[in-house]
Amino acid sequence: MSVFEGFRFRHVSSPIHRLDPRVKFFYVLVIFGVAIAFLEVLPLILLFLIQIPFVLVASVQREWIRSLKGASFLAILIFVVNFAFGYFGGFYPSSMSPWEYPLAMSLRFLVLVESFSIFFLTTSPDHLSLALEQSHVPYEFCFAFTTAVRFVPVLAEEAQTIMDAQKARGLELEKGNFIKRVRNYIPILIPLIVSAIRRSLELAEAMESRAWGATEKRTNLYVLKMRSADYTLIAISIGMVIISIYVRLFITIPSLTMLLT
Amino acid sequence: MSKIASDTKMLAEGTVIIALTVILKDVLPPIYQLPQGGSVSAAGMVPLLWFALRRGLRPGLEAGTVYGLVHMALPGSYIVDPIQALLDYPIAFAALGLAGMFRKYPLAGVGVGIFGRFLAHFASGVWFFSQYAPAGTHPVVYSAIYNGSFLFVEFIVSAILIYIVVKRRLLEIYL
Repeated sequence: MSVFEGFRFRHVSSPIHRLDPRVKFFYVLVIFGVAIAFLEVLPLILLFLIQIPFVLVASVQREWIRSLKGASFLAILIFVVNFAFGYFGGFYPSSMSPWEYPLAMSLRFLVLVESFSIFFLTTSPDHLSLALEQSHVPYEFCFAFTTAVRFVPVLAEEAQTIMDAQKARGLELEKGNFIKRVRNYIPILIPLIVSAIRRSLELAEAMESRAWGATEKRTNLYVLKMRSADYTLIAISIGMVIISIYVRLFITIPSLTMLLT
Repeated sequence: MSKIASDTKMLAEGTVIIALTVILKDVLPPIYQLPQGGSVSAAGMVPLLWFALRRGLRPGLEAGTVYGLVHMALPGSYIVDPIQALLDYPIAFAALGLAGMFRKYPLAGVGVGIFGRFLAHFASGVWFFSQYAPAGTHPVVYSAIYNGSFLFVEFIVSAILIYIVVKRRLLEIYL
């Protein structure tokens, strides 16, 4: 059952996981802004390296490297296409060598993908929906969000059972032409939909029996509160903004070619 | 069953349908494995389209939006910047809810819903390529070809499945 291993709920706790999601989101936006502001290789490498301590503290290296692998294909593509056009067509900023501009492009892409993926890797769906709720998103949306995420492993198991049952009755999923294969999904799809609807009725009864929507104002058992670690991260983010504005305005960043020669 | 308030019922249904979409897209084996490594997913859009056709425009749009958020939070999502994130996840899947406008003509609904999703991915593709593709190339063409080709196949799959599902009167069960 390795297929839905990734969806199973795990309670991971680390200093990064405990941070307020809103603060983490602010940090990611700052990284985004800084990465957009620079098109030189050096600051982008720096931005990439800044994120590694986060990954290590949160101990999500495995997932992080996996997402890095997924993104590197596109990054290489960006490099190759930009390099080819820059080299043969002459489309690149004159201050940079033809290989440095594409390198900066793909680095920027990696930095952006990684910062957003760290956010989602270190924020549990519960936290995320709590943050949404406290940002005044209607509660129905937050409820649907968390409950749907929690329902995924349950329904996955059910889907597996239905598939095994239909295979035992002689259904062959991997055979036939395209139309045949699509039609083969019907004996799986219909029981799945029916059982999902039955489950939703049970869910609705459970919700009603606990007086869903009876009170105007909801209260939460856990409330997101800013702690000292959150203020530290805000300080770091604001520091990064100030430093990058200063560097942008007053310092010319040496290009990699200049450093190497 | 009629004792349950229909709002609660609809919310519970939407929630389960969102989870079902995740299952069909990511857990079940793909319908067709392309030689290059791409694959046609097992009709990942059918539950959302089905829900929109059953419950109408607004619930369909809302379920799509929440599904987009769930998809974004699960491993394997690509986010490069806020605009691309919005277009590729919540807006693209909310567009499937447009099917709810054509409850009398389910196949037209499927077409409109998937076309809406195409527009969202197309716009995000143009936005993305305009930042990373070199000057002098045509991001509009790439985006249209890339998104159009895979969504066209998904449209055929979804249309066949929705057609059968509607014929079996699965839209009205437990209503």
